[in-house]
Amino acid sequence: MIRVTDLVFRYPSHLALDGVSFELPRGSIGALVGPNGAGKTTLMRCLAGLARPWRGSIELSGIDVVASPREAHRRLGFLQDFFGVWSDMTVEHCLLHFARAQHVPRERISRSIEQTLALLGLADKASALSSHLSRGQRQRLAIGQAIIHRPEFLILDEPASGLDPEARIELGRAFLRLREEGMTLLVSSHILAELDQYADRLLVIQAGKLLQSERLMGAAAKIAAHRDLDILLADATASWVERLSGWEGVESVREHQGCIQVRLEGGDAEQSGLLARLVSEGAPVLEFRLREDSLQDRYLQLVRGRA
Amino acid sequence: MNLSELFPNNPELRRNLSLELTSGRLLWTPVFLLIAVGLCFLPDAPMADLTRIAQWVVVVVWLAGGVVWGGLRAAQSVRTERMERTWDSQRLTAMSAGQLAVGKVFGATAHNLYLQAVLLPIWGGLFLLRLQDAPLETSLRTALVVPATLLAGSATLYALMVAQSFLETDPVRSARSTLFSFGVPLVSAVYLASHFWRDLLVDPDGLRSLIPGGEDVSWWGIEIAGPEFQLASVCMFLPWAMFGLWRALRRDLQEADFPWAWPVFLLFLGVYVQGFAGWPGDSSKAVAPVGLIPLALLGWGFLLTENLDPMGLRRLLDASGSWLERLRSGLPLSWLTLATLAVLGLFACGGYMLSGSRGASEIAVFLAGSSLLALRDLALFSWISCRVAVGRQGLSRMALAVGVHVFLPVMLLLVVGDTRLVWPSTLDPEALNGSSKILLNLGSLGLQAVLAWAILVPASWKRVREA
Repeated sequence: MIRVTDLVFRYPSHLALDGVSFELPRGSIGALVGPNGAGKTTLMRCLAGLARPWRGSIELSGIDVVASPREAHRRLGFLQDFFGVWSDMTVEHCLLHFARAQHVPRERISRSIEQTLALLGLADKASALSSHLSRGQRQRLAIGQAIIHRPEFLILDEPASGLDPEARIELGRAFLRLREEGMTLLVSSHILAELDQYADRLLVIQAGKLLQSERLMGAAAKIAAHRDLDILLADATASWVERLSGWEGVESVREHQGCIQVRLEGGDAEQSGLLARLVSEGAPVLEFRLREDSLQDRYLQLVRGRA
Repeated sequence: MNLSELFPNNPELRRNLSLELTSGRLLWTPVFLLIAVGLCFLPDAPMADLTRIAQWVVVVVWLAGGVVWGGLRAAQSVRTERMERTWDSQRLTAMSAGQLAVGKVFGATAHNLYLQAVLLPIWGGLFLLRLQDAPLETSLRTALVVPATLLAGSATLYALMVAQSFLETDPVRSARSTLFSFGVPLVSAVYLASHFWRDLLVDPDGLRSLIPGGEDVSWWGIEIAGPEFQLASVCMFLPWAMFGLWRALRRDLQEADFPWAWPVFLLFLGVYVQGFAGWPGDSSKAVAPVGLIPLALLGWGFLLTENLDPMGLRRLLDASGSWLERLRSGLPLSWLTLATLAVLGLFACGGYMLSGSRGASEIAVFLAGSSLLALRDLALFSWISCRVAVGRQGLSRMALAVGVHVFLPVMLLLVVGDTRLVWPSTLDPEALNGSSKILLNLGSLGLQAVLAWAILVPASWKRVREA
């Protein structure tokens, strides 16, 4: 688990982080989003033990990063926004160096390199000089260097910037595989649609303050107090709007572009109950779906709300 | 940390060796050198002259490849990694500061060290060939001790050049760091070249020592032959250079603790330099506190060059946190150097007074004058550090230094005919003859220090508090 408490970081000219606190459970992927200059990179550098905060505490699985940064370094991998790889070394040589530097046991080094190459789709580039790789391949190599020792935590600052759509999708899949291995990831990006694919936590930061930290996706919907549903009927939409408004548990109902939008109080049971009643009462249901806000919607709501 | 982790199992050293010592370089470096030396013996001329020419070729290649190129490679080893954004990845590995220090000093310059390891025996062999009539002891000493000194000296230079990368807050964009990277190896090469030039062209038998004069050295009353003393000195300073680099790397890896090693080194430096002048308690001669002079110069040099981090200062002066925590995160080396100078000066002064030597008054005046000068300049440079943008600080400091140490004394010289109002030339024995002159001098410096602190330090502190 990553636990950050009341983190403050000052630059001579401004306050970069102002009392940031959050928790990221083990085995989750956190999406750190915010406008340029919000403090994302500074927060990540503090988490990685590369910058010393002015005040506050950071714990990685109980290790105090501020007091014992070197202890924390052994447990994390970090990819910076502007990363570099040695251009005069082959992919395999780069990974070999980091495996040795991270004290991967000698008998496990070859296997670790093979696994990392396979995970990141670089197996056929093992003997290529990194200067001959595309930007996306270099990006994956840099991630490989960060995870060669299978750290508990992986922090990635804009990992998909400059990648083509296919490479982004591949990268997202790789992150999900790492999460399945038990790794905890914190990823910052401006490409919110990409984060939507794999993140299960949202951390919104603006002007050094954390606006919100919340769970995302289906899991969030399951524990919510209400459901927003889109119902598409074959006909008689207007009359069904009127009928639905009087049903138990329906908080609000309206027609929008030929679709009925219902806010229903309750969870899974109430949702399935509503569908069953619609069908039993003869509603010509074509579609019945849960409407979830995209990450982008949530982010914009938060940031505009704060503004 | 054992030797196995520092050398054979050092990942950074292995990475650098694999890049630097390729099979081609291992093969072609000695072949190229032997061909170059062999060509020197082709002309039809006396053997002694040809040997001297060959030696000069070897020396030129050594200065260019070992000192200038090697020093530059060492200076650029960390800087390049920062520019190419690979350094933070290295910092996050489990490699220790010791492994990184050895990996950079002996790895990034491995080809240069290999070049020297091939060159210097050739140079020694040529020396033996040239001085066939010299006593065997002299020939062997020069052929073995001098190359060993030069090789160890190169390693010391490399360690210092790597360590300087960590003095700058932004070494990648720092013009001073660039100047230092090129300037120090070049100056070292020119200094060494002047001695080889004398040896090879002016005084063929004079290569007893690279110290000017080539005489035996008297150090703390011990007579030591020049070459042996140089080797011993280099062997003392190489561990200090590596130790300093190790400490700088520890700080860079966020493992900083109280900078105790720096005052200990200053103490060593003071004792080393004082050894050339004698023991302060030696009443047979009035020995000036020579050992304090390099400390005073170092302190003032740091004042001139050190970028004070306003956040570090605020962390240091802020009331929260333990004193150790505050000292380790924000204590400027210039302050520490000046404090060490004051403490050592007081001890030396006490020693003089106990010995009854007339040097007591000399050192007391020197100490008081230096301290007041340093206090005044500390206020001036702190004000620049806190009020001027980082990019313009170097130029501002230089302008200020020229103003208070050149322009102002010259003006005073022209107007009142005395520069001692702004410069503590109190080590001049003449100054001790008139106590009123000393008092005027110290009073002037004291007034400047008080005014500087009263006006500039509150303004600096206000800026730091606003940060």
